[in-house]
Amino acid sequence: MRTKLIILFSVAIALLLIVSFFWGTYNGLVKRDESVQMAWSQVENQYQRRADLIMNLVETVKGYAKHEQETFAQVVEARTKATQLTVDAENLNAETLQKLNNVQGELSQALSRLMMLVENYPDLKANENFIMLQGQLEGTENRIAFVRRKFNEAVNNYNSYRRRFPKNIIATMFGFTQKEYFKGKSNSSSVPDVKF
Amino acid sequence: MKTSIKISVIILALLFFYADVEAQHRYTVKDVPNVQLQDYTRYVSDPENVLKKDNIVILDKRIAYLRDSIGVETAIVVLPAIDTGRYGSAKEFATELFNTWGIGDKETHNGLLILLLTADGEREIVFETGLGTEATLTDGLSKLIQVNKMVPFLKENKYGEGLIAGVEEVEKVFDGTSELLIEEPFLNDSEKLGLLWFLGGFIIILIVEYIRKRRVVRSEDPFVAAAKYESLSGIGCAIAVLFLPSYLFYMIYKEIVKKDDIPRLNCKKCGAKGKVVLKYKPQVEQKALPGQDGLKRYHYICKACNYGHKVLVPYKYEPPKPKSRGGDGSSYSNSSSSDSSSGGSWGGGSSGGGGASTKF
Repeated sequence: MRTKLIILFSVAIALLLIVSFFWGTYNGLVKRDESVQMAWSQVENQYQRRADLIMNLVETVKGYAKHEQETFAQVVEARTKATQLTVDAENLNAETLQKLNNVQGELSQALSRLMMLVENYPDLKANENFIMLQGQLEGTENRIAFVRRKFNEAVNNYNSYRRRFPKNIIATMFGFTQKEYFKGKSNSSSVPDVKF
Repeated sequence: MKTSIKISVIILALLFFYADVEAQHRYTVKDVPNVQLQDYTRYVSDPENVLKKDNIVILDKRIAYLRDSIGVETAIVVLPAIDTGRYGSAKEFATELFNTWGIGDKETHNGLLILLLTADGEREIVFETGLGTEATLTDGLSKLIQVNKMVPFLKENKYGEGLIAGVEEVEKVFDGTSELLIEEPFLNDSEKLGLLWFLGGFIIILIVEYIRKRRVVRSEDPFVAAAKYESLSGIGCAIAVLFLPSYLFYMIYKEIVKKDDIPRLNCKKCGAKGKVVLKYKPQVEQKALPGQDGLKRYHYICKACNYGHKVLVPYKYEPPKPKSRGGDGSSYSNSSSSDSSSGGSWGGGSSGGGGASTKF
């Protein structure tokens, strides 16, 4: 009778421990998963902000450099491509991230060609609106670099938590898969410095 | 004896060698001396003594003023170069330094870091703004300050003057007097903001009027009601000033709707309507104490027959406001913070990578 009770008791405690471990791990995974998604939304915000600023920049430059239609067209086209690609936080795989890197990289290149033009227009270079826009744009590039670093940190935090035994069993059970990092440069130096 | 001299010579030589290496080396975030921790009156970290002493004094004073009056916590760091192998850009270095030191308040993130690199080929001026600072001192404005106000000095190696000009302009940006505060080229939200202000003001006025009326309805005595209505007119006045267009619109609206149901007092003696007005400011009859309401005497007079009405209205006790720190000149005040060599600390603010940088 007594041994039965002890067995029952220890089984109950073991069950309790297992359940609380499941509970804690699951919540830990959810928390880290959410912080990855938050970090991702910051990345998207900054890319969106950059796309908005680029339109303003094109408008400003157009007023001074009327004969550079081809460059403008390239920038606008690259921008359209970049804004059309929205990557959902739910399906962040290596392929989509690479795609995003590519279109944003193309936009950066078109942008840097546009900024190189500016050197030929001293009036434009001294224009306060232009300097401001350039500052905002460079700021956005810095912020992009910053939020990408933060995103990778969040992914790292999630992955290393997920990978450890025995948490990885629970993670697999509930479909928490390994997440991808941003690879390569963030194009943060893509806007060439206009020397003042 | 001889050997000991030899050893000491070698040690000295080694020390000099190390000092030389120190002077040459490219800085990482950890190497930058955090002057604020040693002395809370200092904000300028200039380990290589690039700036003139009197320039540093001016900068420290300016920044202290900026901290006390406007609430922006600024740090200035002057270095020859950074470890470019470790940091992708000076801006990245600045972001990391900012967040390592935690410049600015933990709640408001009102920090600003100004980083100046002076080695040939690396000369750059960087602003790193905290999450709170970047709303006012935007990336664009930071850039504009650098290009228009600082670079002209910096180009001629007038580092101190350039930094002072920059800090002065930042000050102006925050108190709204900067000439650089042109409308940001891409912010077309100001129209929306104006509309929001107008509509919001109108709604707030309606709410306040509703509350005032409800207070009035609840009290039985019309004089008490009028007094209570009056007691809220301070808020009404403030709102009228804050949202002037909305208030004017409200007045017109009231005229059109003709639902003017603010309490009009009828004279108890001659019965004239709406002729009774407040004669004096309310007098305190019985002072309010903690836990016990006081009484104020309202003195009304009828403009038609000069009959005076007196009403006593209770009012709530309000605890006195705490005195501001160091506000009164009491000679026995706690002066523990007057020790000029005591260390301060940054407030723990953080940056999201805002700011701007310009090479020159």
